[in-house]
Formats: sequence, C-alpha cells, structure tokens
Amino acid sequence: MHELDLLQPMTQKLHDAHIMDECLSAGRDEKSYYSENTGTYLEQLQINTPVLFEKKLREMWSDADENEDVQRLIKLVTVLAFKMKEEEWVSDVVKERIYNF
Amino acid sequence: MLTLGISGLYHDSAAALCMDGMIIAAAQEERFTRIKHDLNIPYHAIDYCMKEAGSSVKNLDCVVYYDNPFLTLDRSLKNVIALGKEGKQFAERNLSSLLHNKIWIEDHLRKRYGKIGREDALWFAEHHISHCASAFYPSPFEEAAILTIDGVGEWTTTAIGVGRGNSIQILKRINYPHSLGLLYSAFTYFCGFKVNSGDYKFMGLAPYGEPVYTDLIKENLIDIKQDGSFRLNLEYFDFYRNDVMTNEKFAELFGGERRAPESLITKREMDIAASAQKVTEEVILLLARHAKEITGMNHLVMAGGVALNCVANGKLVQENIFDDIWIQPAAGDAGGALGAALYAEYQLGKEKRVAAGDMQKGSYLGPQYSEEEIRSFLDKEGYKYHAIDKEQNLYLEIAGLLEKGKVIGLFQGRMEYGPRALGNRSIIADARSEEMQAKINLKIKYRESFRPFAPSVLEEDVSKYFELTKRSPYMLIVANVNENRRKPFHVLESLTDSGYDMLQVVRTGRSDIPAVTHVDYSARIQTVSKETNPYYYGVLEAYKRKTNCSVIVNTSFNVRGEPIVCTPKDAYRCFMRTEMDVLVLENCILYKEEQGTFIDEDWQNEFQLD
Repeated sequence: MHELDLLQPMTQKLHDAHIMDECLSAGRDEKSYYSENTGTYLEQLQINTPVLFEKKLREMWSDADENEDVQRLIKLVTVLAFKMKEEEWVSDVVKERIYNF
Repeated sequence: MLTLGISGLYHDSAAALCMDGMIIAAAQEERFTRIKHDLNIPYHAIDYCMKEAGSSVKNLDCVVYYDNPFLTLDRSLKNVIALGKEGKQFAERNLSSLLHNKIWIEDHLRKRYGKIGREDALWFAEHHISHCASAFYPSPFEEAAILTIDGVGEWTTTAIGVGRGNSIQILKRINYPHSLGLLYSAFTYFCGFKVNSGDYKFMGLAPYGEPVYTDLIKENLIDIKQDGSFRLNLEYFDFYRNDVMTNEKFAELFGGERRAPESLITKREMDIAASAQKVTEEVILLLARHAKEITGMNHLVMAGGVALNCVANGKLVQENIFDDIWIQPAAGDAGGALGAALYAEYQLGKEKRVAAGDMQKGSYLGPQYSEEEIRSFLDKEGYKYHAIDKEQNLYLEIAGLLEKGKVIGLFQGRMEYGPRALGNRSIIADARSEEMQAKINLKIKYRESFRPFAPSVLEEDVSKYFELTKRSPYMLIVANVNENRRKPFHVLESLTDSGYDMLQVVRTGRSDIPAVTHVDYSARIQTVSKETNPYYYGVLEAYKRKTNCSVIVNTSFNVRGEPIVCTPKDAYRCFMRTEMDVLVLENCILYKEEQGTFIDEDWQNEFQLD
C-alpha cells in the first residue's frame, strides 16, 4: 500500500465536511509570505523535528486549532513526512510522472 | 557577502553564485548531466559555481533555495482535500515528491556538503519573489514595475510588484489554480507537444494559423478582467486532479481528441496556437497596463516562464506602455536560482544596490575552456584540427565558411545561462539561404520542420533589417523583418497550395534573409554588441565585410531532446552525430571531411524527444 493511501480517509472526511472546499474555486486566502521576523520574503524553515514540523503546518491552517479533523490530518502528514524522509528512494513510477508532466 | 542560490526539484534545476550583488556564475544542471530540464538537486551546477569562486559550500555566507516547499505542501494538501475521492492520483504525484524530497532539501544539501554555509542553515525565498528578484536586480533600472507570470509557484501564478533600490514588494497576486502558464501549457499539451519543453514550439506554430478560437476560449475557458486579472473555468481542465492537462469537455470544445504527439499537425492545431497566443498577449498587455497604473513606474521588468513568450514581449515593446523593458534571460525556474541569491544578497547583506547598466553580462555566466584545454582535449582524442590566431584570421575564416553555406557549430567563451544560445554555444549559418531552415531542422537539429530560426545581428544594424530600434541581446523580443526586405508570401495560401505540407511552405522565400524570417515575417532577434561578446561580434563584423549582410542564423548547439552543449566533448559529439560542416572550438577549426569514423551506436535513443 502506498503511504499516501493513509491520507485518503482523512482528506475525504475534510472534503465531505466542506473544509476548505472553496480553495480551488476562489483561490487561496490572501496571506502574505512576508516574514515579520526577517522583514523580508525569506525564512529559514525550522522543521527538523516532528514537533516543529507540526507547529509549522498548523500555522498555515487558520482553523487548525478549532477543528479536530484538521489537527488529525496535520499529525498524519507529519508522521508521513518523517517516514518518507527516511526512505532512500522515490518510486520510479512517481519519478516518471513528475518528469514527464 | 558570498551567496549561493539554488533551484530544483520541479524542473530546470540550476545554481547561481553572487558576491556583493554581482553575479559570479550561474548554470543549469541539465548542461552537466545531459538530461534535458533535469530537475534533480543541481549538485554539478553547485560544484561548478564553487569552483568558479574558489570556495566551498561550507564557507558561503548564505545559501538560499528559490521556493518555499512548505507553502507548496499547503497548496497541494488543500488541492487534495478539495478533490475528495478524486484526489488519489493527484496526491500520489504531488505529495509523494513533496514529502519524500522537496521539504527535506536542507537535509539533502547537508548530507552532501556537511554544512550549508557559515550559518549551517538554508534560507527559503518565495517562488515569485525569486522571479521578481531575477528580473529586477540585474536590470539597468533603479526602480521598476515588476511582472512575473508562470505555471505556479507555491500558490502564486502571477505577481505584480515594484522594485526600488534594494527593496522588492509584491502588490498584487493571482493564485492557483488560475494560471496563465497552466492555460498555455494546456493548449501546448492538447496540440500534442510536451509541457515545459514544447511551449516554445507551440508559440512558433501560431503564425501558421488564424485566431478563430479566440472568442471560444474567452467565453468558455478564461474570464479576463480589464485589470488583467483572470479566472480559469476548471470544468475544462484536469491539471489540478491528475497528470493530464485537459479533459473530454476541453476536447469537445475543439472538435475532437488532442493531437497525438509526433503525428501530423493540422489546421486545427495551427488555429488553436494562433488563438491561444492572442489570448495570452491580451492578458499580458492588460497586466502590464495595470502594473503601470498601480506603480506609476516608467520601466518594467519581467520573469516567470511566460516571460519567455517573446512574441508577446514584442507586442509589449510596440505598445510603448513603458519607456523600457528588461526581461530576465533565464526567465523560467532556472532563473529562480539567480533571483533567490540576489534577493538574499540585497536583503540580508549590507550592499546597497546601484543600478549600473545590465548586470547579467550577456548571460554568459557558465563554464568556459581555454585554448590550451581545448587543444589538449583534441590532441588526446586524436581529432584533426587547425588552430588559427584570433587576432589574425579566425573571424574572417569563419565568415568565409558561412558565406559558402557551411553550417558551423560555434563553441567559445562562457556558456549561456537560460534557454537561448547567444553565440557561445550556437550553431550558425547563412541567413540568406532559402534552403537553410529546412536543412538545419532536418539534417542537424533533427526537429520539426516548421520551426523557425532566429537571427543574430550587429547591434548597430538592427533597424536596417528589423522593425526594432532597441537592443535585444537575449533573443527575447520578436519584431518583423523590414518591409523593404520582404517578398510576397501568404502563409494560408501557401499552406493550402501545398496541402498543408509545412516543409514545402518553409522552403518558400519570404525575405532576403529567409532562414530567419518566420511565415508571418517575424523574427526573434538577438542584437550583438562588441562590448558584451567581442568574439561573436568579430565573426558578424567579418561576415558583414564579406557579404554586406549583418545577419546570421543562430540556433542552439544541440540536437532535439539534448541540452545545449557544455564541454568541448559534448560539442564534438554533437558535431559528429549531425551533418554540421564545421566545428569551431575557440580558435580551433575542425572540418567534417577531415574527421575519422565516429563510433556512436544508438545515440538517437539517448535523448528523449522533447
């Protein structure tokens, strides 16, 4: 089973609950990428532990604190990200798709 | 401050090195690996940049990546959620590469180099800021409006901004999935060309058609407002849900299935190309006008892949919305490496930006090989050559060969940065020949016969040949051949008479420089100045003395599907694989008839067709 199959039930749940279903029709909420810390559009991503990674993901989702399903998705993505980081390879099929797109 | 910028993991990876706001070196990874549009982390390009600076990654003051993969993760996750059950294929394609690779780029670099700069930390610049920076900082303007348009960065697909001194500020954005770049790519894909590499061919096809689908496109596919902002009608597209660009509904709109790659090009594709080009130009002009309105600036700078649409750029120049325009030669993702580096230099460093002319140095930013290195290579391999003194006869010799109709592979100076060959890694030929376009397409580049070639012209003579009075050093502006040079030619009549045989059409003379005159009398012009490229200028000047003509054909030194050559070895191999007559490596001339047998089995399968 592909690791990302684990995400499917969660994303489907959020889809069915109309969480962010506007995001493709209306575009993203206007959120500046400008970093108050640096005064620029530059940042250093501090994501080298699951705690920091999860914190960063939560920052990007405005309703993360109110919605348990979003929080569960964030945790799951965090777990997947660190699991997939340890893998030495990306499957050839995926590589092929990315390259030929 | 010494800063390395990196682009990669999407397409067209590259590295660029800057010091105190000056560009030291820049190169695309594909040139080293020989994999076109190579998307892997550009270790070879990075190593080249470090060699050029005599430094190492550990000792850099700053290392910056051109994109924020966390924001891209945000976009991809939300895209998957919006799709629900349909999102599986999209998730596999996008989330896989993000979670495996892209968000961990800092770790990959640390694994390779031990330490990422003195701080041992990677900076991330936002994608369109990297494009903005690549457009503004090397430009000759103290302040300018900035317009960047591409497929998509993290969320942004289009940005209008302003550059002043050291500062860049984005004022307006259009976000995914509404993207002019993706719209154009959808058409490219539908007409049977490859996305990210075939867009250029699609643009070259447009003059063969009539824009009969323009209204259909505007009524069904894209809603365009007066300020240039737009929305796509997603009912017709599939790029946001799987790995194709368009769907059945799109096909129905245009009367049938997409053209199969490599199959016959019909009037439908030509007309779609003409229509898509017209719509694209309309949006770009509206965006430019809006940029002028909200910034009040007299100059415009541009980047992002759509800025490589040189036909649209030519229309922009003609409109005179701005006093002057500067476009980043590496306007696509490769240029993001340079932009990221320059942005970091001017934001984190102490350097105050002073606009002192075009800082891109002709975009000759890659590796070069000395005469000694070249002779050493040729001697080691036992290849026969003639060394000719540059100061004496070299340019005259090359000019004489051009006059005789020889097709020459020219390899000199530093390799170009960006998709265009600008005289340092170029195949050059006589522009006056009616047979030359077909000959080079079929026997040398092994590519589609309809594709036009571009002229290089002495800068001071540009207006004698073309309806252009400004410099165009990077081949990013299309203008028409002067009327007094044209011959009567009607592309539609020619197509009809020939039964849509495009090869026959291109063989019909259209001007006194037919090899570089497209079927609508347009040309994608490179002006050559002595200051920027004395060697190439010398060749053109010698050619003019011999023939009274200041124009030659300039096409990139590669075959179809291959990256532009990087090393003397690449150049020799390309020379021997094709029907090129002469190879010039700096001051060494090699004639095909003097070369021995070159054993190179099955090379045509080495490169994937683009």
